[in-house]
This record gives sequence, C-alpha cells and structure tokens, in this order.
Amino acid sequence: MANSFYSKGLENFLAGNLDWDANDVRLVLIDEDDDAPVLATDDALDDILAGARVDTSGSFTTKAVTDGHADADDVTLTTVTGDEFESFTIYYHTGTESTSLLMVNIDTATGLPCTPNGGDITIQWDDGTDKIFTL
Amino acid sequence: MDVHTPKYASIDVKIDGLRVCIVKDKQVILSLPWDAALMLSKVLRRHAQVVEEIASASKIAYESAVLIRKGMPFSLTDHPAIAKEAEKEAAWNRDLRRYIPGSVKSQARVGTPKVHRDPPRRTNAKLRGNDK
Repeated sequence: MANSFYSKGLENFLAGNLDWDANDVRLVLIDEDDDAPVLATDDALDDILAGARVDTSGSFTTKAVTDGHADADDVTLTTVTGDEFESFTIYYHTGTESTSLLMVNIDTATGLPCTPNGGDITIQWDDGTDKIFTL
Repeated sequence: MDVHTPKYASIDVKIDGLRVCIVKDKQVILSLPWDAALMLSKVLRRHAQVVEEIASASKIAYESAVLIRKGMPFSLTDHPAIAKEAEKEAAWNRDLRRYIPGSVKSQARVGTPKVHRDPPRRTNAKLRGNDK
C-alpha cells in the first residue's frame, strides 16, 4: 500500500467531526500480521484489534494547520516492546475506542517495518511540503 | 444611379454615384464617400463582434468550460470576465463535473516520515552486571 487517508477519516474531516489542532491526536503502532487496516471501511480505533496495537503515543504537541498542512512536533514513544509493526495510524483519541476516529495510516517510511527492542521509538515527520498530511 | 441593397429593418443602404447613402423612411440620413463607408463598415463590424461576444457570454463561457474540463490549451474568448466565468463553470458546473470527471484532482496527500529506533536503555542492574 502507501501512506493514505482512511476514507472515513476524510469523511469525518469534511463533516466537521475531526479538528486537527483542537482534537487530542495520537498514533498507534500496528502489527499488520495481527490485523491489517482496511482503509475503505475502518473508521474508529475499535476496528483495529487490540492485539495488533503494539504501542500508543501520547498526545501530539505544537499542532499546526497552516495552508492546509497538518504538522506537529516529532513523536517519541518510550521503551517500546512487543511485536514488529509494519505501519502506524494517526487518530483522534477520545478515551473511548468506538469514538476515537482514524485519520491516516502510514506504512511507507524510512525505518518501517520496525521491531521494538525496548528502546525509544521516534517518529520524525516529513519536513517537506506535505508535512504529516495535507488536505 | 441608385442601387438598392436588401433592407435591414426600416433602413436602406443605397449607392448614389460615388457615395454610399443610408436612407430611413425615404430620407437620406447619412451620405458617405466610398472610402469612408468602407472604414465605417469595418469599425461597425468590429464593435458588433464585441457586443455579440457580450450578448453570448453565457454560451461562450459554457463552451470554454467544456474545453477547460477536457484539458484543451486554448479558450474561445479573450474577454477576462467571460474567461473567469468559464473557469468557474469548469470547476463547479454540476453536469460538467458529472459527465467530464477527473479534471480537478484532490490535493490531499500524506507525507513520508522517518522512524528511528533507539537502543534499549541500560538499567542500573544491567550496568552493574556489565561492570562485573
């Protein structure tokens, strides 16, 4: 595949259910051997099996929306253990899985797939024009 | 010598010797030498074409929008207001979007980040173990 929006994510942006700089945005590392994301139909965190979630980040900081480019500080997940992950998904964390809306799945990045070794894992966002994503 | 041309509404255009006359209700309202008549006809034609473009603006804009939608590198008008209307039609006209889809693509795209994995942190116990 390629880095892509969830179809329902785009729908939720258009419907006003997602707000990049106002929502609590996080990412979840996904072991696709346990559950591969279905970009066309997955809409919330409960569509990703709990067993496929290797780890979850804290809230994104310094989010920006300038000129339609979603950006934020790089994200560091500390002392990550577990299975190899092939992708990660950015989502709106509400505290309830069924309402935590999925935005984007990233499976193409330098360093993917990655097997945690107990050390920190840092996601360094694209510094080009696309940033994290562009609408 | 009088030569009658076809009538346009109630106006006749006649030739009178080396002059061209415009006659309305049997009264000569304009009599011009042939060369002045030629010049006047060119100016009239040019102005009439400008007015025709304005009068047909919506039709020209729609047909130009079809060309834009199909990716043609030219337009049917130089009139800036009609060209702007054509661009608007190309982008928003419901029928054109339905029957000539795909000309205006989504700009949505996802960036390509980097994933860095640090080595595991060494605990004090491990450090002590390594020291032995």
